[in-house]
Amino acid sequence: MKLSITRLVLLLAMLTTASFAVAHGVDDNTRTFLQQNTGVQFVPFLYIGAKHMITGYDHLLFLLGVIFFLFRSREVLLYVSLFTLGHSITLMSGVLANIQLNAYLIDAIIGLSVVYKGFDNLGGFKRVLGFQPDTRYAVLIFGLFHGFGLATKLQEFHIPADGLLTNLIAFNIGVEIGQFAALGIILILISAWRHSATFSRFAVLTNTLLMASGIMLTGYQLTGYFNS
Amino acid sequence: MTYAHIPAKQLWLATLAAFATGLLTLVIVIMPAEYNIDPTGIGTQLGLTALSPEKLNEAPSALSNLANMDGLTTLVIPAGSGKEFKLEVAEGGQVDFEWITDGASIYVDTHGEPFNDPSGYFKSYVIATTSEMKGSFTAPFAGTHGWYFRNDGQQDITIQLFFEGQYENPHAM
Repeated sequence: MKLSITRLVLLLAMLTTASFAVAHGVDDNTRTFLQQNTGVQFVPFLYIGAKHMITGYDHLLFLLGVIFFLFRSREVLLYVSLFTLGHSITLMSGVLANIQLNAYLIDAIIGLSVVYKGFDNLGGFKRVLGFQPDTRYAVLIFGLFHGFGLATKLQEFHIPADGLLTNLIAFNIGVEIGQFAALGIILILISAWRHSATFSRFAVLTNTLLMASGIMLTGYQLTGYFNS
Repeated sequence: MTYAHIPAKQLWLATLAAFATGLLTLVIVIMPAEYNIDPTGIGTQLGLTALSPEKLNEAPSALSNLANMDGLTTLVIPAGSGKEFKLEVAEGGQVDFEWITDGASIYVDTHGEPFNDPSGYFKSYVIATTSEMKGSFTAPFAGTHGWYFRNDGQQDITIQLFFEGQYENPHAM
């Protein structure tokens, strides 16, 4: 296998992801940990952040939709950076300013972001509106909502003020590590797929499924909202 | 290209299919399994509603059917302390028992002491650390027989204790 920086980076991403491949249900352990440990816990929060992103399938589905038709590394980097900027802003300010938002509604909007991207990938907005809304702005703005989603999850743990900023920064960095790892896997798989004729053949189906999953996510969260 | 250039008809078909799949799955599978909401009734038929938190919390507790019988006692053992519960039983008397905690494991010494014995002698029948036990004992001598529970944990433990047989004067110590 030809050795290159790209391959090394992608391999690292794979290994990082594999080590995070655990199911949900980490929350009880996280809660217990936070009850028993106060002050700055940099590496634990790094880990918790990464785990939230790797197991956050709503975030990952959106990212999949975003990079689906991005063929150039420059574009991938740009869009992922915009998403990162968006979610970091609201993650940090949401937790620090203790902004109280309904988690169900935020998660429903995140679900809608997945529907949006699937529809957009099929040229839906070009059809309906006559133009495709600037995807860069869309990714940034939806990124803000994804960040609020992350913030609400973190707020549920009632992290004490002692060491909060450092822990929050660690969490945010962790989210980026998790995102990097997950993206690595997604990019490897989609790059391989793009070499096959099946990519264009199944592109429509895939984005239809993406839309469907977004609808399920949105409906699931809205039901939770009306049920609570 | 930053999007798939497909004819309008294909786009609308795809969108319709997406909504149909999404809504169907929501209504038939996800809402029953997560929220016990089943407009079509199919979720219940498939057994999915049993997965919902609402249904899971309905499940009867292990000893609810014993609540109406004599010899049911609730003990609370505070964290870091121990308590005894004793029955007066004649020699050869038999007691059947069952007890269950609120989930935590607790140390138990099922034992008996003869009446009026100043030596402090006691005989243990079973020593264990567990969250539930079912059994019986036949008193080898007349005396107070029963359980010593010791909570070595950090949380108080609640125990439901049920006993029946040839005993008198059940009491906590």
